[in-house]
Amino acid sequence: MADAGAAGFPRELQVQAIECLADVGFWDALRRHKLDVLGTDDSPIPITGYYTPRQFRPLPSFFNLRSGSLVPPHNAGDRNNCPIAGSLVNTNNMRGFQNLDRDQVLKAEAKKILHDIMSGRVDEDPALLLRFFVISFADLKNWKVYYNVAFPSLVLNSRITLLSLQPASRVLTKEEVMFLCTYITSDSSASVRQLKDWKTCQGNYQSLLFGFYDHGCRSDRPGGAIINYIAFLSIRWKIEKVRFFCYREFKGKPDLEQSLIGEASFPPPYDWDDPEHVPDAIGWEGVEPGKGTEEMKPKEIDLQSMNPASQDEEKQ
Amino acid sequence: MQVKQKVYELYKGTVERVTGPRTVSAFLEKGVLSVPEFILAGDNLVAKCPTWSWEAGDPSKRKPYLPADKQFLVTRNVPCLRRATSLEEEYDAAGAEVVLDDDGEGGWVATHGVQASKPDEEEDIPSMDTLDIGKSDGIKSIPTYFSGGKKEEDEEEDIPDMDTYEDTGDNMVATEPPYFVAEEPEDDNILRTRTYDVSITYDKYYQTPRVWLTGYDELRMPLKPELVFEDISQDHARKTVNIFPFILLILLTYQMECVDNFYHINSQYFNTGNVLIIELYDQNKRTIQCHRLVDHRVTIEDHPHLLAGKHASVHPCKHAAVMKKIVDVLVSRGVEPEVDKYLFIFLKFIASVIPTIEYDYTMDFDLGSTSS
Repeated sequence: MADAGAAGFPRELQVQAIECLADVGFWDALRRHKLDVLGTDDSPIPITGYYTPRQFRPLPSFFNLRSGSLVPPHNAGDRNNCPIAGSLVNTNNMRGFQNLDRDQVLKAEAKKILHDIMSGRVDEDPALLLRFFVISFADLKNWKVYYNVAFPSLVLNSRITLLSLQPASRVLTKEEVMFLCTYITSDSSASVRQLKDWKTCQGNYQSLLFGFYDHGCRSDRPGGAIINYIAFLSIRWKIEKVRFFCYREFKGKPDLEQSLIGEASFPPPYDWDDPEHVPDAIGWEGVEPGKGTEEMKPKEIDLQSMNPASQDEEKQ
Repeated sequence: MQVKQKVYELYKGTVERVTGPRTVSAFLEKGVLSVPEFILAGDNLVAKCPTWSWEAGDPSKRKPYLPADKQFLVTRNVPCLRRATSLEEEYDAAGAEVVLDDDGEGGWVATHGVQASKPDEEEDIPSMDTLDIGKSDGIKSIPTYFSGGKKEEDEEEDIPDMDTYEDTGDNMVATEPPYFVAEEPEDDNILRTRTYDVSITYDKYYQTPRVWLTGYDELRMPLKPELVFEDISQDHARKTVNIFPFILLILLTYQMECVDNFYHINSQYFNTGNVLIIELYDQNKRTIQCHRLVDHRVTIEDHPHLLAGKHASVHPCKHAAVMKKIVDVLVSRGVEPEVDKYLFIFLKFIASVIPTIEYDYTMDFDLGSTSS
């Protein structure tokens, strides 16, 4: 099945969704944060997640939430730890968690991404394209946490057409990639140039590869980060056709066989300049695109091992 | 066992508090690392294997003798495609080929398979609470099957004869439940398998690195530490010493690039994992030495730099002894290993404990120049 759809271009662009690995330490930190700081406050709090390119075959890379995610990153990150800004809403009870309008919060996040694109903030900080959102209910009494994570992707009015896709090794030589990759930073930047330097290359799209750190591992589709990237190129720079470069790694080194180079076209969006426009968005983890969120199942974390009482029991 | 463990932890913690960190190198003499050497070796690991990073850990658990931003090393999202048991069963099924070094002269002799008999031997290992770090021989109190007392003069004889092991009938592997292999569900074509965050801390008491495992299951949810044992070579997981028949040296299939005057180290860990065989190649690609080293125990404890959760850890009580042994072999061959390569050697033998967790360490490298 992996390559079943690979034949035949053009076709609609499909992407591999990113998945979140949240370690127990993160939820324990949230538990303590609720006890010590939040109380019953359920307004959104800023958190930080960490993004990496794919490093091991045949798995994708994951988005990590860690015990330090509740505090701002202490440095700019590195290749294994690209900090991404996100928000968390911790509700006070199960009912509040279940009754959250998930479509609405997703759209609100997408609106922020759209705003960052229009205002030019993304030019300076491409990581803003990868915003994420967490909703949770920390059941302190029972040492459980229920949560869902979303990676909002803007839904363009028109479909994105994938014109070609092939392993980077067929297009680039190893030397070229080594050169190219020395310029790839954090999560997304243009070939040989930072994204913000794009203007100097304007008018020369065909010789540009728009590269990004790709978490994905599939040969027939890029990782999900490309959607907001394309939205950015389309909305901010009015580009309608790009060649893109899904940069993947194997054990921290460029993986030409599994990196992808493709071409996609997308008609210009409309209505998006309207400041009141609320874009459609998808991105709840575990929810198929096009499906509603009604049936969404919360993930459940058991923090019983943090419970001093249960540890005492163990001793006896 | 619980109480014993607690008492031990308390004791270890107290010793760590009242004694200063090691600052003088004893790498060659004892196989241990000083704090600056740990930083040096860690920097080298991060440079050579970019999937590894230094981390700060939780500020409240910061160790003052380590730099704030270099408290421990970690590599994340490491795939573990199948359970350790499956590796062992597969190896047994394939019929192990025994290849032994022919007296150091470069010949390889294949002998017999593995299925016929599986003699085990239970042997007392130095328990954690009897190890006395204060005595110089404490850290070297290694089981007799390492090499006995004649390692100095006769390395080649180091390999014990299979016949000396008695079959105790206590074969753990045979009773193991069926293993699981990662499967690709049809719907999304995404490989569902376990992943691990592997971290390396500095253990001040044993003065060695220490490996910690934080697992995630196929659904990307935290794995209970107990289930981590399924990914640990069964002998280690059981915390007993089951010596498997002495076997299991398979010639590596990849080509070894040998540079003049450099030796390469290589390890193989098949079947039980408690057998680590070090192959040293000289410049003519002849194997000049084989060794086996045995047993690490795995425990579940609090991570020294993370606040929450119990983590599985390969207990470091044997690490120095194993490292010392490897160092001795190298030195006896005129190679003085450089201390910044410590973690590469270390991770190789740790791979014998967790054979299916595919973390990165370079497969072959120069240990150092010959001392001559």
